[in-house]
Amino acid sequence: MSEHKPNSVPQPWWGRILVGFFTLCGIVLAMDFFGRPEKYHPLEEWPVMYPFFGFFGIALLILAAKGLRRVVMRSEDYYDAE
Amino acid sequence: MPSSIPPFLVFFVGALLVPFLRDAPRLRAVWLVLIPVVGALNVWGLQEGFELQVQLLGYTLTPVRADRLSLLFGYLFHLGAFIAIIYSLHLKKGDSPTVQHTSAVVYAGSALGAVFAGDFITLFVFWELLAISSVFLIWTRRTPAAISAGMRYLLVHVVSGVTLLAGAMVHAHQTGSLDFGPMGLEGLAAWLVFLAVGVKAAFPLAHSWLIDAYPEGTPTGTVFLSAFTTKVAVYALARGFAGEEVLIYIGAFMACFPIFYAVIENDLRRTLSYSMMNQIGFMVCGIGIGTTLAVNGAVAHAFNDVLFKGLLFMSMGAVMYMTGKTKASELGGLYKTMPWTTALCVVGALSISAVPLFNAFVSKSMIMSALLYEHHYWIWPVMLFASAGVVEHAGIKIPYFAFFAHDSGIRTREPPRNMLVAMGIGAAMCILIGVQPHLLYGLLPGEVDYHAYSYTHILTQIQLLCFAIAAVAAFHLWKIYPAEIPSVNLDVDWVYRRAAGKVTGFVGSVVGAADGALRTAFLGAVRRTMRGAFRASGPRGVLARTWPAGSMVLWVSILLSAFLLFQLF
Repeated sequence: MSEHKPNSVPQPWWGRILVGFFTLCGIVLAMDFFGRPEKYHPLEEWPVMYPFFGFFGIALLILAAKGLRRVVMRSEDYYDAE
Repeated sequence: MPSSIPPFLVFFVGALLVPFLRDAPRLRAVWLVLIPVVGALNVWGLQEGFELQVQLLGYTLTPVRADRLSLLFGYLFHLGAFIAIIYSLHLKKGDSPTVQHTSAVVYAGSALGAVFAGDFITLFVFWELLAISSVFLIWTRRTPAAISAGMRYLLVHVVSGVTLLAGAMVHAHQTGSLDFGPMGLEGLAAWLVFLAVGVKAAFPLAHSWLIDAYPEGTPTGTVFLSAFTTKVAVYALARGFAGEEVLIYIGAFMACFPIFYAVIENDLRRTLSYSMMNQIGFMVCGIGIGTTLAVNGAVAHAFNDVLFKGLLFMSMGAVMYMTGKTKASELGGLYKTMPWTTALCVVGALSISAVPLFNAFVSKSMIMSALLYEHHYWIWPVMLFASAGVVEHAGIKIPYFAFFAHDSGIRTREPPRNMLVAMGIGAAMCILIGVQPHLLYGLLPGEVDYHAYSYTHILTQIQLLCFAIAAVAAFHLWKIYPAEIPSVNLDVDWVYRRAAGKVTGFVGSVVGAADGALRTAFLGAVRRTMRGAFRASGPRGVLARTWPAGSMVLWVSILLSAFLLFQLF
């Protein structure tokens, strides 16, 4: 499976990219505490609502998709058989 | 200069000459590029409010109706055709260039005919032409899978066309008019038209033609396919059903349901097909809200979708053209040999993810804002979830698995220059509209009083995107991200590709068994009757014996005695 093969991008690059990216995440998270002028939805009153939604939305999506795969996945020649 | 030439005519006349240029590839290339350029100049000259009408069997037909909505789609289809034609200029003899180019130009012309149609009959004609011309872009791949998928695609779209015609007939009977305008969802006619449009828009349960057929198209054909069919349906929904609440829920479901499949799909062009359905969900939702902002947002998003989805399909088409592969499990590490294609694909990924300064940011936000302004508080979080989902499957998965991820060992080179130029134009347009949204806003059907680049909107979108990416990164690092596995995933098409066959086989076997049993029973009864008759009247049967005259006299005496006795008593 693909995940066991070596990564094509050199490791130091990945390290730098990830550090830079998670720093950016920290900055935009901190900015949430300085307030937002426009709020229309009750959920928007919650602190860090958008980061929460982004992270846990994707987590839910990936876990649910893994569950879906158990139900719907078939071999590549499924429709060619018979 | 004002023009009154029907926009589709430029393309149809252009297509007529293409087969005669098969031995002059350079001349053919110039001719092909000229078609959308001349067409665009013609549409630019069409005055808003222009109508071309003809009388037919007592009905007034309007083959051309130019208003802001049809003109916007007119500009879009010319731009889409221009980019896709440039992308396909390299086609050589083995790629069936004449068939592909001719059908592509007729297809683009049919899309133009449909969006400028002011009546149902014209719409129906172009609706069917769209299906018939586009199927060649699938069939010319010439694999058994493409042939079958093309046949299913054609069948579904012909059924959609017939349903549209049925709706048109009922509408004409009820109203005495064939004009295609706002309908609302009341009465049989409206529902039939809605159903026909829904099939073409890939509504849930009617969507599998898109997932089935688009990935089977040729590398260049799928770029054309992604630009026209579903956008014509979005146009028809905006024209006929804006403000119908049911569209909000259909759109929300459309935006969410395919992203689960997109996560686990191995074929990257099929992943993009699911992504297309997801993006159409946003448009359908916007049309359902029905306010000026929402409908503007929906058609602006359709405009942008042709650009960023076209760009992504072009980049995957380039990968397919150069490597012969589109499966994530077989790709990876291509950034080393295809750096330009990688960069252009990343622009498409950033655009579809609605990153600020890219085009989806300025159109999707209109729909999301309209949801909030109209107090659709339950739908808004659902669409926010779908927005985050886009980042995963189209923003990260497509470029990551094709160009980075594990090194597949494939060493290739950049695609032909015309492909890179087409992708470059698409990418430039994505950035231009993202940076200068007023260029698009000025073309929208309704007046626009919207500012995408507010502090709150920029911040919240970056937060959503960053943490969605962080979740994907974390799942990769924790090794719980679903691996790319060579497989197929069952979808609604399983019903007619597998279940229908099994059900038919089962019903056939039951009917066959019942028929057999009935025949056996009937033949048994006939055989028994024949045997009895034979016993009675055969050579030794009781009825076939030669009776002596004495016994006959005896029986006559008995009968006469019995008669006498009855008479006496």
